[in-house]
Amino acid sequence: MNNAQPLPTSRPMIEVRGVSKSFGENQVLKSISFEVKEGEVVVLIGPSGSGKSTLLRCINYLEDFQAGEILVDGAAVGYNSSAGGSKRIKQSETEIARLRTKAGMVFQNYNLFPHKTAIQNIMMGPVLVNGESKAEAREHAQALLAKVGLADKANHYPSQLSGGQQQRVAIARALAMRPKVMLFDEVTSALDPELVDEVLKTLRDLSTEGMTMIIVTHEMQFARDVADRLLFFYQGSIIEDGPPNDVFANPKTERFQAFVKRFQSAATAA
Amino acid sequence: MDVAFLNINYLLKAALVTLEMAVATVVLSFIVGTALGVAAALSGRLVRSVLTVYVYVVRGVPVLVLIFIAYFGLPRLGVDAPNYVAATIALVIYFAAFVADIVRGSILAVPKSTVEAGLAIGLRWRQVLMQIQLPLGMRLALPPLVTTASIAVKSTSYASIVGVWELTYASREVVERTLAAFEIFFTVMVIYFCICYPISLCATYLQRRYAAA
Repeated sequence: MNNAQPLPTSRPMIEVRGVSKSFGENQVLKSISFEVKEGEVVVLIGPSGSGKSTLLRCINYLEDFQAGEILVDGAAVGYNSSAGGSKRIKQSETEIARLRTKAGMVFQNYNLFPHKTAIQNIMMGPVLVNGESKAEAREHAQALLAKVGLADKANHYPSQLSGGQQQRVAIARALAMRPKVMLFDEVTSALDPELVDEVLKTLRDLSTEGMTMIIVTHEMQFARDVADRLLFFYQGSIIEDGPPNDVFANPKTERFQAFVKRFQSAATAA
Repeated sequence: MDVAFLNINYLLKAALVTLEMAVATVVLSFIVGTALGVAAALSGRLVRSVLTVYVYVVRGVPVLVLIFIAYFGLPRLGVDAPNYVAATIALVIYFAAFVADIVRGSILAVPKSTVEAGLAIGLRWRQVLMQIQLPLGMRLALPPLVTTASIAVKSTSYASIVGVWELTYASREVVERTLAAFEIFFTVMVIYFCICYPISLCATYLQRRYAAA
């Protein structure tokens, strides 16, 4: 749970308004709308194919969306609307790249740059995008490595690290850009069970420090522990939205009731 | 094998010419091929189709025939070039196609997820190309590129057919003079091997150095 008091701000950190997306004939997001306040930890859960990862990837415009708006820290992502609000003008590459620095993303398969060491991976963004000097970037990167518990692995290549270590380097790499929000796309799904905890601990620490986080995960217990709000996705729509205890205690929809039952029986079986 | 030793200086002088042609061919075809391959990897259907046609045509024609076309065709175009220039042009056209195809494939083989990770930290496409796609792509391309370079070096021997005085041509001169065909060709084989072997060693070294992937 988030212990830090969120700063009082007039606008949400993330606004998703009426976002729809289709892959060809298949509509995967059906007019999704929600907001995330600064410092909030929102967890997206739901069956595979329900659109949660796709929505996450729309937020930093790794996926295009056909309708709706997304705002990160007040700035529109992907498209600017003309004065009337009716026309969507696609943003330039420069704008999109700049907006991506506000949202840090961590991927299921870590996606570290294999030809660079851990510390070089982390330094790339600050040096190439923010124009930091190598010395500054190196110092910051070393601090981030220490923060995720990998201070001694700075000069290791990804191939020399375990999955959990690689994922923590990936988290440090995203944090190096000093993002306003962190997006986590099933970051423990590709890890062996023993390595999952070290990554979840890093996520927990981040949340207590007041980072705004949107997490897509299958780790139900973690979701319940860490989330300020849970959003349940089903076939492209959000059908439950609320604090975890509320949502689990009083599911509004049958689908989620079935989902909860499966989780609880799995939990008791474990 | 005394015959071989008696003529070794002559053959080695010719080997030098082969080496010059080989270096020119490899360097030029790699520069042209890499440029074409990168362009094709990044461009739309039109450029890619042009490259595909080019590769298919070249793959369907013996390199010797291309050398003939260059040798007899250049004068037709009004270009008065020496025979080794014509041969080198043909070889460059031939091998650039293979290099382009290899480079294009290697750049596209860089996982999309790694490219996305670059985009996610705010890199522009040009930065993604220079920092991620090219470095990783070229590492993947190294083994097939070395094979191509090796074949290119050996293909310079075709130039002898249009009268270029290089190792193969000189070896036939010596054989005609001495009638010691086996000994001379065996020696020439060893000389070609000495030229090509360092390329393979280079490749192994480069692969080991850059195999962090």
